[in-house]
Order: sequence, then structure tokens, then C-alpha cells
Amino acid sequence: MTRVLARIALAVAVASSSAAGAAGDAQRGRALYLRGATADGEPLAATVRGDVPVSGATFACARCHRRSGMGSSEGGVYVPPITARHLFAARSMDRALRNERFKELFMEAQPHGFWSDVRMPRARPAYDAELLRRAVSDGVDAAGRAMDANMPRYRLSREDADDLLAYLATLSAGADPGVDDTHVQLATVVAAGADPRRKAAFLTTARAFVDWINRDTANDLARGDFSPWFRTDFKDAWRRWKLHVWELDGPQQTWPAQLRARYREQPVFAVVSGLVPGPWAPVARFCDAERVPCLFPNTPLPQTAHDPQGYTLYFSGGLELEARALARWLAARGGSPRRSVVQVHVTGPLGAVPARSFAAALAEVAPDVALDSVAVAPGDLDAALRAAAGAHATDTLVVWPGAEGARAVAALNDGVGAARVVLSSTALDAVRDDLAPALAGRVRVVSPYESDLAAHPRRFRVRAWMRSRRVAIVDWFMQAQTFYAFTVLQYGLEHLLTDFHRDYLLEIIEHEAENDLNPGIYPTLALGPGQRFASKGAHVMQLHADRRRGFVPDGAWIVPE
Amino acid sequence: MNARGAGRRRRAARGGERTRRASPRVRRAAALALLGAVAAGTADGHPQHRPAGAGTEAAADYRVRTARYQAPAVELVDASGRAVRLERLLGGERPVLLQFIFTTCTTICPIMSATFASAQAQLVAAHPDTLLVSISIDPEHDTPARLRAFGERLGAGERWRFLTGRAGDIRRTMRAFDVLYAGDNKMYHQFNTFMRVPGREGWTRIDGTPGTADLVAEYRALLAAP
Repeated sequence: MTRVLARIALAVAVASSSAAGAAGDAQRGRALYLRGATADGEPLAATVRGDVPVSGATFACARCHRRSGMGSSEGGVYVPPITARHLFAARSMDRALRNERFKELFMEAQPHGFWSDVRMPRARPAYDAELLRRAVSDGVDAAGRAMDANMPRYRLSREDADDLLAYLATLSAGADPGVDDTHVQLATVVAAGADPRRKAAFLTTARAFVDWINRDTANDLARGDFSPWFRTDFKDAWRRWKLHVWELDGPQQTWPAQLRARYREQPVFAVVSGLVPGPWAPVARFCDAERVPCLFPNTPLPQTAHDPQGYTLYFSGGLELEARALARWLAARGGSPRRSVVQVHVTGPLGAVPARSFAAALAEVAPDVALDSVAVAPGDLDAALRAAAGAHATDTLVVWPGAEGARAVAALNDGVGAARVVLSSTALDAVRDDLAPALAGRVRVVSPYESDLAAHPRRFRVRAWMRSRRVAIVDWFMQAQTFYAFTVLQYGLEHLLTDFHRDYLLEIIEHEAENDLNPGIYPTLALGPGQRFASKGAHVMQLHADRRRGFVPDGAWIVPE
Repeated sequence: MNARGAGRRRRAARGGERTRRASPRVRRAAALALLGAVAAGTADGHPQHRPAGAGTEAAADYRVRTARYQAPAVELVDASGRAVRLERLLGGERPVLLQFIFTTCTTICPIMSATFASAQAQLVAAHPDTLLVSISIDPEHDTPARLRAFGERLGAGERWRFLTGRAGDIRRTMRAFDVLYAGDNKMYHQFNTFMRVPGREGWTRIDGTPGTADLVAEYRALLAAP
């Protein structure tokens, strides 16, 4: 560790001395690095692979080297790291440096050319202003060798080159907060109003995972010099996890202040999972402001405005996704059942947010449909549904019951006039357990989850993991999601090694999410650079004729635009 | 997850686990790749390593061979949301150049697509009916609207179609062109360009990354071939 710190200190010293010579502006350099914006306002221009002209944000540095500067590995192309401590230090033949990318050699399904690129020793002197300008403009590295043909040769003004240098001297120059030599600090968020049984199951699952990781780490450290599978090469990267449970109470407007206070008290490297049965947006704002990765919370209401730079990763678009998928499903049905649609939703975000999305989506995909919306207080949902049930002219009754799924099902059991009733996934359990058999043919539920629960082998492993640790399964989807969030963090941290940069963690997860970690809760979980929703669609489901077999899809998987 | 030794579970066995789960597919893909390589060196294909184009010291080499691919009978969707029968589009009376991409790809898709963009005028000049097709391998994220924006950023002309579709149909298409990636992770996909001239059997497959002049030269050579 001392050696690593010494290297960073040296690198930063070298970098600042190099940067001191140049009069570059780091802020302008950042715009160039991230978006390809040059000082004179023209888009960045370059040539790649000899004669292919390129320009703009698509070929800005960050596109390949990523926001963290740690580089990437994709499609057999190895993009090396260009952070301050990489660029402004000499590279020598050093086992530690070789091991920097050892993980890729070990884990990734890459072609041979990639492996040989990674293994290349790349001994070179440290970059300075002139060498960096030459590298970016002419594709010649600090040792005088031609760089890879996939590295664009940029047309940079002297001013742009100075700005870029000033920014690179700061890029991922030190470790982010929340990590020391022994521990990585993590938080999870639990909102007031979470059902006590679910909350207990959530915390039990989360703590069992952290306990499991820490026992393994303790075991590794206890035998630190025992090195089968090159384990000691990674010893300096091992950290114990410390999980802080941040409980939020009071009105949502006060959450950002509460989160900031908790964060000031104990900075964390990442927020992992969470149980927020309402909008995630207040937490998302905190994550973005502090640049803390927030990984796969359990929430029905993610912040759905797509922000590729956002710091929260979600499983799916939640209730808004369900609403948009349902509008497409109804539009595709045609015929009389869709000519008149009534939606009844509870007041508050769990009802109002999907109702609003549904109305907008329906107007877009089926403008001929007449939609009536009825908002009711959660306590009045049954009365409103009984009143709506009397209206036989309704073809389709859509219910957004929020947390009142059981109340909605009880009211529907008293009689329904509509030809078809569709509820949100918050009513999945109530429909399965309590719906009157006579209604089974008419009732549908929108579900963002996997319909074939036996399709994923990892589901059985995760259940076995929980059983063997006596973690009671109260809510399988929620607990499996929690397990996934922690697994993704575990794999992400392993890949970081000692490069504790939060942006790099997000980039690794974007890259790795598609690997086989899905515990069978969604058909596929996959991200890509800048993607924030791992599952993109939903099913409309109906009960199987044999109730014990649960739900079956009514129609294809719907991916709304 | 191996319950024994942390190091084994968290490092070595992790790779092992992935390999095990993906093994039938990975092994099949590896076998195909191997067969391809063997075929490329023997009678079946016409393997030719092309060195860097003249004067382009930066361009790496690439490999050209022919293969008998059959576009599957699937319905995909283009960037304006219109349905497209793939077997008709690719098997029709127009010469076609084909790539597999996704819009959030960091490194190789922008380069592959920029090569199409830079070569499109010359490709059309070489044959007026030329069609360029880019199929998304990340169909659930790459909606028609995202493909449209991607095409606009590249300056794609009207001869260049971007296609997405249902995940299963895209997978069938990728299998038909032997571009399934290892580990079930799209981040491991590779550089390929396919070319076909109507009336002739099979496709020309280019593995690697030709520059603009290389791609145009390969296409002209294919058009001129007897």
C-alpha cells in the first residue's frame, strides 16, 4: 500500500509540475475530454484507422477511456487507462503494473489480440506537455512508438492541448472518499413507511451478504501469504465492508438534507440497494450531487428521465414502465374492449405517477380511445372500485392501487362490470392469493418480472444461499433484487483492485451487468455505457388455469419506446 | 459460488462459474470459430490477410473470406418504426453491406459506423443500388428513436438502414451470421462487416477493421469479380 501511495504522490507531483508549465484551463479541458467541445466552440475533429474522419462527442476521450479515465475493454480492443497517475509516471517492467490488468486476462472472454495488447509491457517515460500533445495529435506514445490504429489522431490547437493536459492532471488523481486501508464504507437507504416485515427481510438479506463477504475477506487476510491462484497479488485490494443503514423519515422534501447529514457524518464509497416504497428521486439527487454510485435500489418509482450521466442504476422503469407497456398492450388488442377505458388510481405518487404516464402513452399509441381517470384516497379505493364496477359500459378498468392491492382485489371480488380489469404489479400477490376464481379470466396484472421463474439456474443457487443462512424469504423479488445489488457491488469492487474511483465502479458494472448474475427475477439484466435501466420491458400476465402455477404472460414481452 | 476458500470463490472460481454456465454456447462458439479458422486456411473459404492500405501506417490488417450465410426469416423494425422482412432486405436485388452495432457501445461501433459513414458516398458510387444495413445487437435499448438519433449523428444517408427488433429475432440473425459473442455479454462482440452481391452465392465476411479506402476497394473488387 505504501508503495502505491508513494507512486500516486509522485505522479501528482509530476503532473502538477507539468501542468504548471502549461496555462491550460482544467474546466475547458473537462468539456473537451467528456464532450469533445473545443476552446473555439468547434466540435473536436480527428482521423481514425488511417483515413476515417470523425468528430464530436462520439469520439471525445471519455467515449473510450471513460469518465474515470480508467479505460475500457470492448470488442477485443484494449483501451489503456489515462488517469493522472498513469500518464504522468514512467512505466517500467514491473510485476505490479502487469497485474494492473491481470483481472481482464483472467476473467474476460476476449480474443488473443486483446490479451497480447494487455500483456505488452509498454515501458515508457512519463508524459509531459509536449509528449502528450504529440500522442493526441500524431498517435506517437511517450517512448516514440506508433499507437494503436483505433486511437484517433486529433486536430488540436495548442490551447486545447493545454486545457486537456490541465484536466488530465486532475483526472482520478486520488482515491474517492469512503475507503481506507482496511475498510470500504457503504450505505443502504430505508425509507419510513416500508412494511416492517419487508424491511426486516431486506436488512437480514443485506447483512447476511456483508457478513459473508467479511468472513471471506478475514479468511483471505488470515492466510495472506498463502497464494494459490495468485491471491497474494491482490492482497492490497481486499477491504472489509462496513454497511451503514440510513433510515429516512419525515416528508420527502427533507430527505436530501437527511442524506447529506448522514454522508457528512460518514462518507461512503457507494450506496447499495435500498428499500424505498415511493419515489427514488430525492435519493437520486443526492447521489448525483455527491457523485456516489447508488446501485439497484428496491423502488417502484425510479427517476425515469434518462440521464446517461446519472449515478443511480435501476432494475427497470418501475410503475411508469408498466403504464407505458400497458398502453401498448391495449393498443395492440384492437376491437371493442379498448374503446372505453377507465383508470382508478390512488392519490399519491404510487397511483398518480403511473396514471399520468398511462394517459400520456395511451394518447400517443391509441388516440381513438376515450380514457376517464378517477383519483381516490387509498382508504376509499374499495368504494370507488365498487362504484366503477357497476358501470357496465366500461370495457377496460385499469387500477393503480399503490400499496392497496389487497383492498383492490377484495373490492373486485364483490363484482366487476368491465370486460377486463388490469392492475399494476403492486397487486401481484393479492391477485394470486385472493382473487375470486370466477374473475380469473378477466383480470390481468402488469409485471416487469420474469414470467418463467424456473428459467434461470442462478435462482436456485440464490435461494439455497438464503436458506443455508436462515434468511427467511418474505418477498422473493425484493430479496433477490437485494442479493443482485450486493453481488454486482462485490464483482465491481473486485475489478477495481486498488483503483477506488466511483466512476470506474459504475463503468465496470455497466460492462459486467450482462454477465450471468441474474437470479431469475428479470428475463435479462444488461447495461451498456450510459445505460441506467437493466431490464427494459414488461409483460401483461394472467393467472394460469391451475392457480398453483401462478401467472402466465398474455402476449409478448413489451418494450415501450 | 463455491463455498470453499474465498480466493477460489471470488477470483478463480468466478471465471470458472461463468464459463460453466455459458459453456455449451461458449464451446459451440469456440468450435465454430476454430472451424472458421481451419476453413479459412483450407479449401472452403478464400482467406486473405490484407495488409494495411497504402500510406495508412495506422490501419491494422483484416481478413476477408466467403461464407454461405442465410439471412433468417424474421421481421425487424427500422429507425422510422416500419416493419422490415430481413430475408427480403438482405436477399433482394440490391448489393448489401451489413454491420452489427449498438448505440451505447464505447469503442468499436463508433469506429465501424464512422467507416460506413465515411465510405457511403463512394460505395454508392461503385453501385447505385448499394444498401448499407446496421443491425442493433442491443435491441431493447436501441429503440427506433435511438437508432434515428445515432444515424443523424453519423450523417447517415438514405441508403443506410438501421434495424432493431425483438431480442429473439436479433439473436437468430446473429447466429445466422456467426457473430454471437462469448460470455453472453455484448461488450465482447467483434469487428465484422459483411457484403453480398445479388445473384452470387454467399457473403463476403471481413473480420477486423478496414479503413475507408480498404472497404471501398474490397467492395469494388467484389462487384467486379466474375
